Amino acid sequence: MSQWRWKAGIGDGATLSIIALFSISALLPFYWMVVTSLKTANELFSLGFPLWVFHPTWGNYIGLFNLTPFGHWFLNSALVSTGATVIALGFGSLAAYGLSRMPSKLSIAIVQMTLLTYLIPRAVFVVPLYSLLHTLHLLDNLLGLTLAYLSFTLPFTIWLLISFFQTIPKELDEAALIDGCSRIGVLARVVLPLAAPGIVATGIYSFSTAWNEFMYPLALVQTQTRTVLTVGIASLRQADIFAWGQIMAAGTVGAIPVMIFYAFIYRRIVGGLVAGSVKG
Amino acid sequence: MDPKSHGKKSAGWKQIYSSSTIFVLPAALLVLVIIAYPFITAIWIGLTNKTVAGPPPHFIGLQNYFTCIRRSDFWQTFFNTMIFASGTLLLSLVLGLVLGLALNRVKRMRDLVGATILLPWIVPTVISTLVWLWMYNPFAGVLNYIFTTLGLVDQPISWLGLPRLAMASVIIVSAWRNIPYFGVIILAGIKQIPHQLFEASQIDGANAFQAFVHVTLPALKGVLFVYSTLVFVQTAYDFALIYILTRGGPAGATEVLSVKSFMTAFETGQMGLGVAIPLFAFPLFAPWVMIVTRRMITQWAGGAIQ
Repeated sequence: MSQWRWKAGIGDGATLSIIALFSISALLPFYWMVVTSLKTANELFSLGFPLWVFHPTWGNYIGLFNLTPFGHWFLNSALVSTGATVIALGFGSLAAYGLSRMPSKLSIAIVQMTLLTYLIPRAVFVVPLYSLLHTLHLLDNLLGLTLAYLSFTLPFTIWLLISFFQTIPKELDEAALIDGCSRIGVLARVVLPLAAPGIVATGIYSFSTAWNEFMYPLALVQTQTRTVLTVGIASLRQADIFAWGQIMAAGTVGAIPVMIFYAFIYRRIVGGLVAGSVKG
Repeated sequence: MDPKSHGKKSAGWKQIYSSSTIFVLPAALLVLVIIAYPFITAIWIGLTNKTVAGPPPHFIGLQNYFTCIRRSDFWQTFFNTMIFASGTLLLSLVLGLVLGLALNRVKRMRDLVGATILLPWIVPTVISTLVWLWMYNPFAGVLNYIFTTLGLVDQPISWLGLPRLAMASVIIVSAWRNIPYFGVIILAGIKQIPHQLFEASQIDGANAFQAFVHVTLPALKGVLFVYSTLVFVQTAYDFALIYILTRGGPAGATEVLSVKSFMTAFETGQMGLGVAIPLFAFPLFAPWVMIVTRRMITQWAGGAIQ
């Protein structure tokens, strides 16, 4: 494509070059990840041109599934992230409904507390959570890890859901109550369906935060096959200094779920960031 | 409708709404078990000599905190954390502003461009950090290849091996992750500025730069403040990025609070001291945290009253 058509497509020259520069620096690492994942160990450390793969192979991907517990890691990540998200959405939507329908000093205090926990360093919580799970015999256990993840997914789920529920007029609740609906029925039949897009976005955000978590599983799980993707991938490095092909293959596969989810809610993230920021 | 009966009715509704407490109860209990209880335990553990495995812990008063004050490596860690967080903030704020302004001028394919640029913020930190670790590899990393090919350096650079350079290298990765976040927030902020303001400044004869300084920046002030504080605090608490890139090395040059705390608690096994480190540092961040929390609360309360 000729240059002037690109200009007409994206914007003027200065804009185009700035955007191009940012896009390249955003994409280069991921390009490098995918290219590396297709290389043989020989090609990795050969002195040729590194930005292309001359003898592509699926070997790293095959090795990943056959020689490492990658399948376990992926499944564990999926289970724990889903669990921590679904439970947070369940408890969170009840709480957010209650809180959004009674703007009192108490509810503000509750929200303030949940927000504060978000702003205390995680490192403070990891040791007491370790003792708690130790007492409950849930160390090195997916259920225990889910519980630990809830300590961060629940507060922001409540927080985000409140802001979505607030946009639904109370008059709708009242109308449904007059029609003989119970409070829980109002939540299930009126509020939740109307807030569905917000709930999906909150769920995706929660899922990806859980999927990305590194410190908690590093501390709370010891067994190789019981750990999650992030800790597993990072552990490949210690196993073998030439494992880079495999690590990059694992990274490519590991990034896919989150990227698919984000593709769905891209517009909402951008919109949500504005809605949250401009009001104050 | 008779206004009196309406008033009565809404009093009735109020009563029903106050029963909302029951909805909050399950989550409140869960929060009690997995957040409030661990937090109180953390304060207690910080006052003991608890270890990972070993004899039952003893109460030792403020000894862990005195250890923090006395040891120079703690202050080094605190200083590193500040440098890491402010460096990340400064770099991502400035470049994010450039990106946001450029994005605002993009005429077509805005979604594609936005999605591409947001990628570093979306991909799990552990994964992108491992990619950077591989890019920084002194022998086969792509950065050294690019730099030597362009003739910028004679011999491979050890990006994460030299103390000063290592800090710069970790800041670059951290900023790389945050630039898109700022870019999108700034773009969103610009979109909210009424057109009339720009038109008025044009009529007054302002050029693009003057319009930026006198219209765009003041309008973005609030947004930039809140998100800068958030990014600063979150970067200061960050663990995965530095743990993976350097584990605090070389010679403690990139050791930040979370990494120090984690390694003290789980690798040397001194859990009491491990908890005391971030608890000791928390008051130093608390003013910032308070400011953001209060701003978000007023926003939230404002929304609730509407």
